[in-house]
Amino acid sequence: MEGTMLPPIFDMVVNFVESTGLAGFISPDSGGLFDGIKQAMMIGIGILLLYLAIHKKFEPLLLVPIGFGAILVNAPMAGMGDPGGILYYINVIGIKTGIFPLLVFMGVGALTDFGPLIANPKTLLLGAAAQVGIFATLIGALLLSRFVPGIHFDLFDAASIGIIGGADGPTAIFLSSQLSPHLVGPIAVAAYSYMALVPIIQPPIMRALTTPDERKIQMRQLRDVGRLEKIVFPLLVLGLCILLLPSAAPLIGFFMFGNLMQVCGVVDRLSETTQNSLINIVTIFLGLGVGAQLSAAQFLSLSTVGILCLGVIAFSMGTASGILMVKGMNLFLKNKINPLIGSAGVSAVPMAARVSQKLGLQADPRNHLLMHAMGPNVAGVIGSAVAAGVLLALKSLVV
Amino acid sequence: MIVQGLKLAVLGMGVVFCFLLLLMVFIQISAKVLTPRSQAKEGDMSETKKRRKKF
Repeated sequence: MEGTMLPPIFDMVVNFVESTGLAGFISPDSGGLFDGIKQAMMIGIGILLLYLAIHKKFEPLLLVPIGFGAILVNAPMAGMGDPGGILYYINVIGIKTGIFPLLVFMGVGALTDFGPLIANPKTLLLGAAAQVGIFATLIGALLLSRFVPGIHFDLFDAASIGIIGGADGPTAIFLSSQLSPHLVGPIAVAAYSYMALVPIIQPPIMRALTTPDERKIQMRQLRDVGRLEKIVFPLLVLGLCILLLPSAAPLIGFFMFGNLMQVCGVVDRLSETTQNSLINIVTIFLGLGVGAQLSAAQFLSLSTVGILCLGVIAFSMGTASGILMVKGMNLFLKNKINPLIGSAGVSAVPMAARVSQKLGLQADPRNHLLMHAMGPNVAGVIGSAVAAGVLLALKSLVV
Repeated sequence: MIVQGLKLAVLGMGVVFCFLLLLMVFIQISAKVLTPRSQAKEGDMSETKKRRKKF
């Protein structure tokens, strides 16, 4: 019994007290009281995310696991985010490898209807224009790095921050996990928070850039899209991607695979699993994995404040450029497009399309824009995946 | 570094626009090729249904 001898009772009590979370906050292993306060602050941020998700209904499917993950990873003495801890493995297996965001993207593909886009392919250009937000934010990040002391973003960091403007959570997580793994936490939080804030961020910009008459423009009813066209579409996009931009193939490939399962009509069981069980399971782990990135050392910095500020700029620029693109196209088109649907090009499916619908109805209660806005909305998803592909190719472009 | 960012932005927006523009063209072509086929197919299907109803 030599190996299991216990120390005297006083030493046992002291050791036990030293192993409590309370002692961990006061004198954490890594440093003094200051580190303990930072960990407590991060737990506070985790609780804030839970509050926003549960009370304000801000992207609850992601913010609940992210907030809870943030609390778990900052629990002193638990070591859940350290090598050997469960959050560490979730993060390494699912986020750093890019597997979880891709699986979620497959689920999103299975939930997406490309019918409105196929019926009105011109709306693809709106999805392209809205990606201006990504690249403007990239330059903004580099400007911040140049002029604000304490912020140091390299080109990879700036590219990862820029993708927030794509308003597409899985794409943002995938790209940042490949280019700047240390920024995944703040970027994911910024992307999902601002996606939830789309109904607040977009309307003032949409009103400022359109006239009341423009908001009343009625669009022609979309034609019916046949099943064959819907089956060919994902293969078409994938073919283009393979030929022109293989770096975007993981994102676009999984997105289109999910969609093909839905539209082909012969693998209903797989499609149903992808749309429900699989995406739900992966979302839980994706959220926890992102939450695991929210450690005090990584999150509490001036860079995070910079990322959060740049996120608003990214969304605003994307919204504005989509609307301006419609206005430009209307100069040449016989059948005018309502500029309110331009803002839906920022992705954020289907929230951005709903905002277009809401503002359209405010201008004219008979003007239903939802289906028209779904075109640029899903075009934005493809556009942001293409932009992510270009940014991923950066690895091979850098000399 | 900012110049590098500008270069990347120009390349990125160029690729995004080219990709989606090409996709737009291909969708229009596929619509022209596939729409008559799917209409014919749907027509056949509805005719078969009618015949079945007659019997």
